[in-house]
Amino acid sequence: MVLKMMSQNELSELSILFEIGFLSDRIVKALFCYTVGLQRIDEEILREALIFLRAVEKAKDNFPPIIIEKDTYFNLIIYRLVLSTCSELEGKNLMAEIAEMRRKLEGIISRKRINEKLDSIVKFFNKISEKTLEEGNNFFKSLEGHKHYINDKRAIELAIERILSQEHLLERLRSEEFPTNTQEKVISLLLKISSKIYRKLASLAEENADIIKLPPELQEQLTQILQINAERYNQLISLTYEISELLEASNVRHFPLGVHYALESIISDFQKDVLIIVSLSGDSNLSYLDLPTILETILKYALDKEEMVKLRDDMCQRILIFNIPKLERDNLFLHSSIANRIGSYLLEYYETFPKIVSSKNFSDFVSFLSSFDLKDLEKQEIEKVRVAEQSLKKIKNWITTVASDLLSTHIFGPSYMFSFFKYTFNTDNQESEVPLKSRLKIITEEIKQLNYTRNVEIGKEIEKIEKYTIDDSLANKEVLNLISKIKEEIKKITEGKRYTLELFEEEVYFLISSISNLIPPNEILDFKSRKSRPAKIISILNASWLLKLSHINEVYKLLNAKTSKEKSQVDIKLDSLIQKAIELSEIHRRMRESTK
Amino acid sequence: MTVLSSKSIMDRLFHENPQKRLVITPIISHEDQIAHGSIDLRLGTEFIITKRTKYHLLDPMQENIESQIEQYQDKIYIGYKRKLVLQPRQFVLGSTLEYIKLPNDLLGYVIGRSSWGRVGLIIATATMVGPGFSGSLTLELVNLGEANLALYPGTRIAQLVLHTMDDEDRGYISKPEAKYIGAVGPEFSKIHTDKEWKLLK
Repeated sequence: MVLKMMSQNELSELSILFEIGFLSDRIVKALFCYTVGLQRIDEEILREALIFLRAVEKAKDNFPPIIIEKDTYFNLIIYRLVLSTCSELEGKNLMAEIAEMRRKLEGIISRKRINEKLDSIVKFFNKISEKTLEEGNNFFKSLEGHKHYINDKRAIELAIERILSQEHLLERLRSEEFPTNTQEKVISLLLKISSKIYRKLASLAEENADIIKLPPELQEQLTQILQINAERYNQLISLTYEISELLEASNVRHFPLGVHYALESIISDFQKDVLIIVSLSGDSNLSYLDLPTILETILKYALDKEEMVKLRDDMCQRILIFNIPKLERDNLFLHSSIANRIGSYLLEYYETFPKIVSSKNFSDFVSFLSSFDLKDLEKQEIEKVRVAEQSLKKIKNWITTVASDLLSTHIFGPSYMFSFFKYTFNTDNQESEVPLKSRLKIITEEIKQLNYTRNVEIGKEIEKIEKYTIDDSLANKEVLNLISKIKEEIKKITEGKRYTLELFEEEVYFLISSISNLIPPNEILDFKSRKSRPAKIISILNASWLLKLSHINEVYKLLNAKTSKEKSQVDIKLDSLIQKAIELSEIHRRMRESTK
Repeated sequence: MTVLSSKSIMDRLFHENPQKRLVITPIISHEDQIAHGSIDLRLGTEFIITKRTKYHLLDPMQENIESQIEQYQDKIYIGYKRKLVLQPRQFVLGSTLEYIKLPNDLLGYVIGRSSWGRVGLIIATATMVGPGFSGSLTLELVNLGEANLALYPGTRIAQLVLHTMDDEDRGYISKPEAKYIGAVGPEFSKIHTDKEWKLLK
C-alpha cells in the first residue's frame, strides 16, 4: 500500500523499521514532536524516545527478531488497518498481505544491510534524543521553577510581571514601521488580549491573598486551582510573546517587499479576506501560522465564553504568519517552495482531507477497528483510540503532502517542480511523510499531463529531473487510486484559478528577454496596441527559473562575467531585478485596479 | 539634439528594436504620465535614512569608508499605501518606482514637480541620466519646508525629460565607472570609488 510505493529496493531507513514493526506509534509521536520544534514535549514522550533508542541498540545484536513483541506486532497491524481504510482492503486480505510483506522483506534484505541501516537509525535517534533530552530538561527545569514560585505564591506575580513586559514590547512595536497595516491590527488585538489576561491575573492575585483566611483543607484545594491557572497563564503569555516576536521580525527593515506581495497576491486568488504577515526566523524551514485559530485554541483555556465571543469579533479576518528562514530572505527561487506551505493552508481552508477520506472518518475507523477479533487487545480501548489517532494523523500527513504538491504544481506551474527539485529534494528531508522520489514523480507526471513539455526547454529539464524519480510500477493500485482521488479534489479547488499553459507561453518568454537585457521582468508590452500590463507573479517566477536553467550563460556573456566571482555578482544582480519585478508588478496591478 | 515630444517618447517606449527602445517600467497609465515632453516618475518603496546619532564625519579618504557609509545609513521599505514622514531639513535617499533603461542615443534630466517644490520638497541634486543608463533613479529627498511632509510610494514625484544625442554614446553599461548600473532602489554613495582619491592620497 502506501509504504509499498517506496519500492523494495529503495526502502529508506525509516520505512524498513516501519515495515517490520519497530517504528511504533510512540516513536512517530516523538518524531512528530521533534519536527514541530519540541514545543509540546512531555515526559512520557521523552521516556518513550529513550526506550526506543535502547530497543534499537538491542535489536542490532539480535536481528531478525525471533519473536516479535505483541505490542510491536499490534502496532504494525493497526497501521495496516489504518492504511487499509484508504484502500478498502478486507481484513483477511490485509493479514495475508502483512505476512507476505514480512516474507518478502526478510528474503531480500540481508542481515548485514539491516545492521547498517540500524546503525544509521541509532545515530539519527541519538541526535533526536540528545536534543529531546536537552529540550526536555529545560522544559522540566522551567516547570520546577514554576512550582517553586507557586509554592511561594509568587507564580501569579511572575505572570503579571511577564504580561506587563509583553505590553511594553507591544507598545514599542506600535511605533515601528511595517509593510502593511496588518501588523498594527494584530498588535492592537494582542494588546487587548494582554489587558484581559492582566485583569484575570490581578483578580487571581486577590484570591491568592485571601487564601490564608480559609480553613486549611480549602486552602490546599484552592492553592491547587490557582497553581493550574497560573501555569496556564504563563504558557499563554509565552505563546503570545512568541507571536509578538514574530511581528517584530516582520518590520520594514528586514526584507524586501517582493516576498510579501507574492504571498498576498497568490493567496488572494483563493481567499479574499486573508491578511498576511511575513516574518523571518532562525529556523531553516518555511512554515505558516494561522493566527486566529492558534489564539482561539490557547485563549479558550484562559478566557470565559463571553470574552471569547468579543475577541472573535476582533479576529474576524484570517491572519497568516509565514516564516521565512533568515538566510534565505533574498532568495526568490524559494518563493516557489513557499507554494507547498500555501498548499497546506489552502487544503485546510477548503477542508480537503475529509473530502478525500469522507466515507472513512475517524469514528468510522474506530468502529472498524472494533470489528476485528483481537482478543488480547479488546480491553485496551483507550490504547486503540490513541493509536488510531496517531495513525490517522500519519495518513492525513501523507494525503496532505501529496495534495499540497499537486496544488502547488497547479498554482505555480513548472517553477514549483524546479524549486522542489533544487531545495526540497536535495535536502535530507526526514520530515516528508511521502518518499521524496515519489513526490518528484507525482509532480513531474502532473507537469507532463498539463502539457508544459510542449515547450522544448521544459521538456529537456524534465528529462534531467526524471532520472531521480521512482519507478511507480511498484506502487499498488490503491495508492494510485488515492492519488487520482486527490487530483480530482485539487482540480475542483483550482478551477479558474490555476496557472495555465497559455499564460505561461504568452508571458514567460517575453519576460526572459527582459531579464536577459537587465530589465526587471514585471511588465508585458503589446507592441501593436501600444499598451502594457503587469505580468503575473507566477510568470515572473517561471521566467526566472528558465533563465537560471537555460539562458544564464547569455547573460554572463552580455555582462562580460568570466570568473566565478563575476558570475556570482551577476546572479545577485539578477535576483534583485526579479525580486523587484514581483513588487512592481503587484503595485502596478493594484494601482490599475484602484484607478478603474 | 532635441527634446523628445510625448509622441516620440511613446514611439521609443514601443520601439521594436531593443537597442533603440526606451524602457520605463512600470507605466501605470501612459495617458496620464506622458505629457508636454516629459514623463512623470513615481516614488519607490525603498529609502535610505541617515542615522544622525552615529554620523560624525564623512571623509572619502578614510579607510573602510564603504562600510562606514553603510553604517551611517539604514535601508527601509515603505509598502504601497503606507507613508514616510519627512521632517523639516531631513535628508533621505529614495528612488523612482520605475526602472529606467536609456538607449545609447538618449540622455535624460530628472527634475522636480513644481507642486512638490512649492511645499519645500527637493527631489534631486544629481539630475543627469547618462545614455545607456539602466536602473532605478536615486532621488536625494530633502524637506526644505517648515512642516512635516508625508511621502507615499507610488506618488508622482519627478519628471524625466529626454534629449537625443548627436551621436550614439558607447553606453553607460560598458563604462568601468558605471557604479549604479542595474540598481533597483536607492544606493549608498560610492564616492570613494572615484579614481582621483588615489591621486590625492
